[in-house]
Amino acid sequence: MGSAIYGKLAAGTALTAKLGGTAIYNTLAPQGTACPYVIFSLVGGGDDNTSPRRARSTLWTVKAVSTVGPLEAGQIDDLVDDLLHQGALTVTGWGDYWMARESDFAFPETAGGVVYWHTGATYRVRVAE
Amino acid sequence: MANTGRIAGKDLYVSFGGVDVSGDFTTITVREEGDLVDVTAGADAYHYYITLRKDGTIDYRGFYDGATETVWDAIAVLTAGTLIIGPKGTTATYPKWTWNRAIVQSRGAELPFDNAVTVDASFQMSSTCTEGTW
Repeated sequence: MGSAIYGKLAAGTALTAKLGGTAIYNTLAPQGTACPYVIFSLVGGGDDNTSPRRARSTLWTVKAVSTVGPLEAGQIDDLVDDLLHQGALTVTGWGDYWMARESDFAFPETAGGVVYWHTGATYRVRVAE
Repeated sequence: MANTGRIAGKDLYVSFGGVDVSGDFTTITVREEGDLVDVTAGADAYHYYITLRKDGTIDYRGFYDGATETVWDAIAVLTAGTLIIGPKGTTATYPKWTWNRAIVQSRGAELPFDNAVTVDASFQMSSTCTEGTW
């Protein structure tokens, strides 16, 4: 699933242009990565167990990290939203039937005298075998 | 002592008209009933009934498969066929309920914006249930 989300984001030319490349990482960005970049990570969910056919409903956090300011982080978040909200994923062995933005967040974080602006959302992804 | 006979429906098998419709099911409801005739006389202190014929319905609910529509096509309204249910699956010696004739009385689909599409059907029993084994 993570590779599917990465592939979806990395295929977004407007997003990669804004990031200056495929600065998109699963869970953690490599130490020292220059901003801006996008991080996505699995935060919850699991199997539905409602029918014999296996189906999963998972929650993913996808956020932009910027040192320029909340405006840039928000712009990147908008580009992520364009790609993911009610978009389609290609997940090997599974059929994707729902992907949607559920809750937003934005917060600053200070580290080493630098302010990092985090803006993003959680996305619900539902797939079935 | 533990009750080892209790089961969940996860292994249930159900077919209609020779089509396996168990892959996406979420609930099967079997309900049998009988006709009763009230023959209470004036002097009786309590109602007295005699029995006539049996009747029943089987309700199916499951997810819609937009890739094949196998289940949706199999449960077209007024289709008649053999309905077989294996509550525990199809392993030899496991229970097997067979209605040689059942008719799809109604079929429906629920298409919510934000959730999986589901289908449902109600089968009218048109024969007795033969309880056997696989």
